[in-house]
Amino acid sequence: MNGIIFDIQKFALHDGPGIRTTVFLKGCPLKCVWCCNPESLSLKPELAFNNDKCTNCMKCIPVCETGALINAAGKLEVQFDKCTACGDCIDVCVDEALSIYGYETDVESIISEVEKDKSYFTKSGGGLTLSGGDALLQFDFAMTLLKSAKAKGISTCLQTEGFGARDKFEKISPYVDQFLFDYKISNEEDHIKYTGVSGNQIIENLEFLNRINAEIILRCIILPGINDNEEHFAKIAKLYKDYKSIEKIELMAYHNYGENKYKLLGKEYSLDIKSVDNKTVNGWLEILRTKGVNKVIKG
Amino acid sequence: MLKKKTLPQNINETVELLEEYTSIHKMYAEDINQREARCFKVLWRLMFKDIQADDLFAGRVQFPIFGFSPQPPEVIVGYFIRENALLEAYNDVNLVDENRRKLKRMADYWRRESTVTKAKAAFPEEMKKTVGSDNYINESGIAFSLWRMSGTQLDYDKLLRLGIPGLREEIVNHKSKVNKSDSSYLLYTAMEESLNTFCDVCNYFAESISGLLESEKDFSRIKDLEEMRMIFRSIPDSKPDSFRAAAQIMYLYSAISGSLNYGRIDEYLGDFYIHDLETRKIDEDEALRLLSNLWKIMDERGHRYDTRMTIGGKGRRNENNADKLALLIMETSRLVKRITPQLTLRFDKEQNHELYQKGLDVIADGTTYPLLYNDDVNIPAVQKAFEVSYDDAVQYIPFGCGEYTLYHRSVGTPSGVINLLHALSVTLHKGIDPVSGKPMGLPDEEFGDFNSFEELFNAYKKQVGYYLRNLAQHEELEYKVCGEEAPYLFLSLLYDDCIKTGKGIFSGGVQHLGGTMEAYGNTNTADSLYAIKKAVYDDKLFTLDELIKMLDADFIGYERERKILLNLPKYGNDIYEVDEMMKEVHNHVCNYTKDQKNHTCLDSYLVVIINNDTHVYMGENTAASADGRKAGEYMANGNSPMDSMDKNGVTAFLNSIVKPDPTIHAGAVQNMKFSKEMFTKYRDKLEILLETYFENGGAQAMITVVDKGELEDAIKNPEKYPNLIVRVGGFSIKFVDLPPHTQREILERTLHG
Repeated sequence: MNGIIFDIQKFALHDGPGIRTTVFLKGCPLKCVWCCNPESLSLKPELAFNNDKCTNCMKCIPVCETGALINAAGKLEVQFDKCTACGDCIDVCVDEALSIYGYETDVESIISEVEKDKSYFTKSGGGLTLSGGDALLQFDFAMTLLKSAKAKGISTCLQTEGFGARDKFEKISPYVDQFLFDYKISNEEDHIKYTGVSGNQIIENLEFLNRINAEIILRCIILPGINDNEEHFAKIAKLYKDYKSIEKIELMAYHNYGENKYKLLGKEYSLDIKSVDNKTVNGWLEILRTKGVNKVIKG
Repeated sequence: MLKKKTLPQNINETVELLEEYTSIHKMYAEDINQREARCFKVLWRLMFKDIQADDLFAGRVQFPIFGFSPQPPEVIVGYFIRENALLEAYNDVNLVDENRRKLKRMADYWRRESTVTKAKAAFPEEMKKTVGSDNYINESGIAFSLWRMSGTQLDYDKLLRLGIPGLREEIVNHKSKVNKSDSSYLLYTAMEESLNTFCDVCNYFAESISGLLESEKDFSRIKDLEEMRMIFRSIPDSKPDSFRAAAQIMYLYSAISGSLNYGRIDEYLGDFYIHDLETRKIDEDEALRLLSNLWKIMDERGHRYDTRMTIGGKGRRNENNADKLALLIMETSRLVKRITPQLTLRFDKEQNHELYQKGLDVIADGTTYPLLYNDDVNIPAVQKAFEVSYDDAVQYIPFGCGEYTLYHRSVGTPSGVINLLHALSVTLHKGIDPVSGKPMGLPDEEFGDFNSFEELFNAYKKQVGYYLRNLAQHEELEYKVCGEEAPYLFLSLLYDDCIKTGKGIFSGGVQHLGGTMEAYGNTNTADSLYAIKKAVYDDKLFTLDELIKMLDADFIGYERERKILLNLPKYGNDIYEVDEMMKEVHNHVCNYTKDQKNHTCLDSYLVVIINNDTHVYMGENTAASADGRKAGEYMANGNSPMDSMDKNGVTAFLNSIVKPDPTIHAGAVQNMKFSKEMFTKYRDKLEILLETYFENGGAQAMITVVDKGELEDAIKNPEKYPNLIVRVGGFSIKFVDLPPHTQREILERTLHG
């Protein structure tokens, strides 16, 4: 079975317990305005163009069959809407200014790559993490990956936005040792505004996972001016209290490191907030602790 | 006339002593034993320096213009002449004309009589052709000779247990059992005289301390000086009775012998330390004060490529005491933060875990020390590679940049270097060195048309083998000439089985006559061979002739092709095909070298992949290679992947580097660069990472810990980083002291975490 991924990261330290290998699947049902992995949003491979590396040699223009690359007054310009990410231009770009995010591969190749670090997993209690995007968007692919990993005795984590049909969670949960469940915004109106989807289904899925006693780490990104409010903190604390399956809360501070990638992909980055300092994060941790969340860490 | 038993104070007094030394050398030409012993009676006065203001130990040394040493700073050996020092002397404004003439006459003599001259004169034709040059820094070439008897690891434990009187007794005992006409009788006599010289040095220092005391006012300094004097007065007649005395006698002996490594220090000083602690002679702070001062004196001795000091590991006779001292020794290195001694921690699964933990703490502090050696892998590996028993292998000990030897049982000096990448380059050009344009190595007719990859690979192997044979014969010859020239008395006194057999260390006395050969460019060769196989023979992207054209053009006009080559799989990413190629290159050079013991008198002859900064120098004289490396660019360090080519994460890197077989060589350096964060915030995961690496077969780790961006900043603002220490290959150095091209190389290495 084949799927589209955009990275395999070894020795991942922040995607579940122990030493892990994280496989990033392309495609996400949410469109969060702050997303730091814009290359993960689309299901398809995408061209990236790094203006700083380009020497405007124009050797790429004749090889492009769709006319996505043009010479605009001596400067190379990419018309992203015309690009099919065929990759022909990459071969001739010796300055590494052009590249592709995402490639098609099969379950077997991924698992054999992941398996190479098995001794590190065993020793550290780590394993495979599927991330994205949201891996559930390529459901069958994700499912086969997790099943194969389990068959090889590799422990698994699934990082998810929590969005999608219930039966996906029902089917996949037997093959997931730990869910890294993203919880973003409590206010429904804001949820739609900032992520493009309703938050109700996400809560329902969380509730379901709690009911079946799945192991959950709730990952909460906090963004100043968007969700650093009393209502949201109170809701997080309530979820922690009500859902015994939530082992701990990982609080993630917003950062804008992903901004440059928008530029590479020819996309607009609309958010204008600064990265958060440590003091602010500690303040948030304290708020949650006073609300009874005794297991909360900076993720 | 210079007063007897004082050190020369100016160039003219120095010349006077040099003349005395030279005339003794002439006079005793028939007996190498007497000659060396007599020479030392004068030589020590040219070697030692006086005690400096804060020194707690005596034994600062220098190298005279003419002298004798197993390993002077220039790459020379035995009876030597140091041309640079000679030039300096000529430029000394105080040198009187008569002495200038004397110096010139002596220089003529020593140019004829130096050990290197004698060895070079003994070169057969083929050796001249293959390893005739020792100038690997400036010339292009496949192999070069090295001159030195490095890596001796003396039995200081014996020295300290017996003391000078005990050692003398042992010699007298052996001497009484042989006839006056026996050659060993001459050796024993010379050994006794060497011990007398050692006592002369002690007496000199005792006297000179008396002189210092006359004008000293500071009470605590007086106390120190008095204690030092007491130690020197006692050395000739009794064995050491304190930690301080033991450290002094060891250091003084290492200085006069010219041996640059310090053995298993926790073992030979451990009992003294614990005894002094228990009897309250010293406390921990005092021991720390003494060791810190000793480290400083050792560091100022220089020799950053040598000076290994080993702690921990199996096979120490007094493990508990030694462990306690080992902890203090690591703390000393943490506090002192010098680039030498090169502290080395041997460990195994059963060892007191505190040592390993302390080691990681000290590494985390940015010292690059201790260097970590995994006994669980190394002991069986040494057993196999050296073909020795477990009892011998348990006494393996690294010296210099990372070569293994057997503690006071074997010597294994590297006497040659090979540049495998250049061998491939010359092979591709069918016997022509593309850098100089001249013929090199095996002649053209030895090669086929390279119709298949196997044909090419075999030609490369043949080329390398031709040089390895000559390198092995050169090693043998170097030992032979050294043994014919001198018994190296101070080394032989503390080396198995010289006293027992009555033979000098290089004259048949050493228990295991090993040898090593430094291999460079292994990784780039494997990556290049893989690239050729894949791009030319398997995928037929271009022909071999086209590829050679690209290399000759240094890829200018072939940027696209270079990109294809650069993007092919590279060693260090846990990719089967290319890692297999690395294994094949490794197995070939290691096994072929190992086999040379069957064709020489050597007990073992093994590859070392140790790396100092030779990978940078040799790279400068090596043409562009098929792995995408440009002409003149540095090569990969030690057994590591090429810089920035390990893109698959630290676990992939570690998985790759455990693949080359450790049981067929005598040491391979594994450099790793981690962020400080890894050692602090993620310490638990880092520990598991290293533990798994070692369990998977990792033999050793040399770890540099730096902050992200720190090295870049240090290049821009060197004044802000006077103490930033990094590990290059087989040695550590202050980053700001490195030449720009080596700084660049360190910077390009992948920073993990």
